[in-house]
Amino acid sequence: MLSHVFSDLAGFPGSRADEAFDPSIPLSAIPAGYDAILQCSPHLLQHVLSVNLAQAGLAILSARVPFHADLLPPKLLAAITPHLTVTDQLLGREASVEVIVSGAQVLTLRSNVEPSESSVPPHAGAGSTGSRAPRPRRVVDIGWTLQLNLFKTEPARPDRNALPGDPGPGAGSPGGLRGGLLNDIDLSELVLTTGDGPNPAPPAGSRLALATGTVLMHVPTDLEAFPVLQFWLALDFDGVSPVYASDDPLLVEFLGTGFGTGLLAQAVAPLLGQSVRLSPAVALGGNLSAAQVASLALPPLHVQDVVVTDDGGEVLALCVTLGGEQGGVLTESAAAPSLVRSFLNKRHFAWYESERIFGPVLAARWRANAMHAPIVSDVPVEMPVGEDSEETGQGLARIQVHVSDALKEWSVRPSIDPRFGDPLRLISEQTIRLLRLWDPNGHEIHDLGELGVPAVEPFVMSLQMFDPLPPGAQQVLHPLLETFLLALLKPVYLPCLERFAVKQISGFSSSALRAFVVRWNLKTPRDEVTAGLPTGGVLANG
Amino acid sequence: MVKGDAPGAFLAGMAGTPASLSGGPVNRAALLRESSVAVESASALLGYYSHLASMRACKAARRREGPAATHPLEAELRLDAAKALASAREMAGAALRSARHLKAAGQLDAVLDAWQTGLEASGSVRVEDLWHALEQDAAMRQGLRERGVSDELWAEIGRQVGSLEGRVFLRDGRSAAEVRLAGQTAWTTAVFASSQRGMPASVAELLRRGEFERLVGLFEAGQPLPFGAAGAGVSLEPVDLADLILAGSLLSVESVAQHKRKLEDTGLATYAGSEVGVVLFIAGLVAIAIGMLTVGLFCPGGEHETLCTAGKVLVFLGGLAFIVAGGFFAAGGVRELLIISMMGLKLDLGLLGIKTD
Repeated sequence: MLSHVFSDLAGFPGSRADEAFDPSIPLSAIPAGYDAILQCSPHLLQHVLSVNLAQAGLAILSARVPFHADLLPPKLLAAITPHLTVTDQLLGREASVEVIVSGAQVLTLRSNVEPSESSVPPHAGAGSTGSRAPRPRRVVDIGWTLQLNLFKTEPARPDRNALPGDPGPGAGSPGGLRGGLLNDIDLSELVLTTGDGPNPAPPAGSRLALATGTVLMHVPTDLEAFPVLQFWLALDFDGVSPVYASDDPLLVEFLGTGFGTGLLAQAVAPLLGQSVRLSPAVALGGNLSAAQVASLALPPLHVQDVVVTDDGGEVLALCVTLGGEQGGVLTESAAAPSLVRSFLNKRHFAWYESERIFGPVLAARWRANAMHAPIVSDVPVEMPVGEDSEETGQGLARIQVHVSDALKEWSVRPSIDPRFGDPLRLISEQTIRLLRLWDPNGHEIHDLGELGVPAVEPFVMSLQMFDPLPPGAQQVLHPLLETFLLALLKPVYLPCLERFAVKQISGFSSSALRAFVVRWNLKTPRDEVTAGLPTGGVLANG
Repeated sequence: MVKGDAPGAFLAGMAGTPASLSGGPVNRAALLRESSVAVESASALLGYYSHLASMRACKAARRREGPAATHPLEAELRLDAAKALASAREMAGAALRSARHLKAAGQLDAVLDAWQTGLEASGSVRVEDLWHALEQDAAMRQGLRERGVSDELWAEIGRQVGSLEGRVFLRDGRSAAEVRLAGQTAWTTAVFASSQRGMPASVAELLRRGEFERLVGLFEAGQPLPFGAAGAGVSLEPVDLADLILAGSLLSVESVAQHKRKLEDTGLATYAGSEVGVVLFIAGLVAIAIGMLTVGLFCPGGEHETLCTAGKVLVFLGGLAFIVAGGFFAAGGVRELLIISMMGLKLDLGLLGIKTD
């Protein structure tokens, strides 16, 4: 599965010429004293919030109350009455007053609060739930659309598969409509393109939009950090007081009644008290278990959030340090701007990760995904053409290699060729056994003698993490090694628990910074159609 | 060129070594060409590092004026660093081609044989004395001057290679050296071995044979190398002279690449740091390059014994410079260089082209 990403990378080379030397994003501004920084564009945050709300069944909040004329305020009653027909009664369609709160939008992240912080020792027990922010929490403004509808249940009819958007009986019926259209809710925005969650659908029936307004929620956030090197920023809807507003006199009147406020309270009740992730769920170690993370004995993990701005708007940055209380400088005041700056470079996601984090993580993942099966391969070898000959020729050796489950060294080395990025060098050990040997004349040498004694040698890999293949070249890896490498390196490119459909992965490695920078975009439904790929996530952890 | 009893006996012993009989003819024109490239590139490189030192001082002086004060200078320096990397690649390429040619002609083994013979005659010899003997060899200096080795370049080689201290000796019948840079506390020891002949003695030896030529070919062809440049090469195990030249050449380039990357990604530092090692690498590489030229020009035929011996010493001192310079960079053995291709897993073209569908 991950190979999709890698092949995508091949199509979108991460050229240092494009990445590193963008004058608006000096590399020296990226780390600012942190071991890792994740940055999310407004689009990505919106996507994550929409998906998480939908998966929790909270994307569309609604409440209905059966029509009773004596309960309704005068204007609402006047708006509804013309649409209650004898036909409805004959068909058994029940009418209700309905409110729908939907279309959550992240309006602003910037609030007059200090950046929040969460910390947890990675080697703490697996049951630890992390700590809450010691400082005032960031507040995120979430806007929703409020719709006041006349809802009618569907009569029994053969076609039970009608889409929620099907206007149904009464669509376009004339007479005093406010809003004038049925089903103004754009459900297509809520169809998940990633994740496995349910696709929430409002109850089937016909809707007549009577009035629309807005709902504003000032939602505090929690920066949650967990011992398995995972963290995220979550919206805490507990105790949030929605602010309803509308220019429509009908809705204004409705909001001023106990009937209205009660119905709205009923609608939003499932949301209040819930915690919903706003940022991607960052997993520095991928799917490493708590025990595997604990074995790394890393210093305590500290995460801080800060909002910076770039041409695309507000950028959420989650800044990670291992050990120290605080890495770089995090303020959002104009007088003392943060040293953290956006390095999204017009992408949805950007990720800076230093050797202090990816080194131990790679070591743990090397062990967790160790190649227990040996690799057998035929390789050409130079050897004498005859037993006592000084002349050499090319023979063939069949060798079996056992790669150790211990990663001994890791480093980003400077590339000696300016056309390529800095390679990631990994050093382990291998035990090599010669199985069969053929001399340059093609004759098999049956008595291998000392050559048959296994040798323990360094196993060195040098990986160009962001360079495309040269034109016409085709990479062929041993399947075992390919599987191993994909499992090993995935968190470097996609340090998230979510399944995102991504495109245009790029980045660069820096031996000077001893770090990687990775960027990518979310795929759009159009990308999926264009590529002829099935919708849904193309990546899966585990 | 005799200075003291031990070096004198050593050099005399080397001079008495018979010319190589096992290899083919030496292409002197090709060696001259490669030497010319190496000398020209080395001069450019050392000039760059000299300029760099003044740039550091300039930046340090302007620090109070803020980063903007040195931005234009650093931008210019980045361009210069890119040229320096190109020079380093040219210099390494020339040295590697020369080494490949001399190895095929049996001359590298002849150099090692000569060291061994010399050490058998003299016993342990101080490294400092060997350089001193070369410095006083007027004939050699004149010969190199005629082949483009300027006094400035020779002086720089002298500053670097001449600052090595230690001893050369025999260990278990093999040439060995224990060496450090003046002022360092730790010694580095290396044992030298002739290139492999006959049936390999181990599977590792079997798989490693021929890798030098293959990797030089990859470097020449501009292909990514499968080891992403070498780790610093300090190995107590017997090291083949050609492998040492390969490791040192690539580490020389890597050290310049590392400097260039720092300039690009973090800016010019106001202290030199590991550049002591970079300059030592460069000096070692050019010493080996002109040493190999001297060997190639004057050893076959045995007509210019003194110059031939001087060339062998220069190659040896260049090798020692590599070994010491390696200590300034990441740890790792010379042997690391030759491992990854063992399984026929061509990782060198990059992981990112994997396609499974």
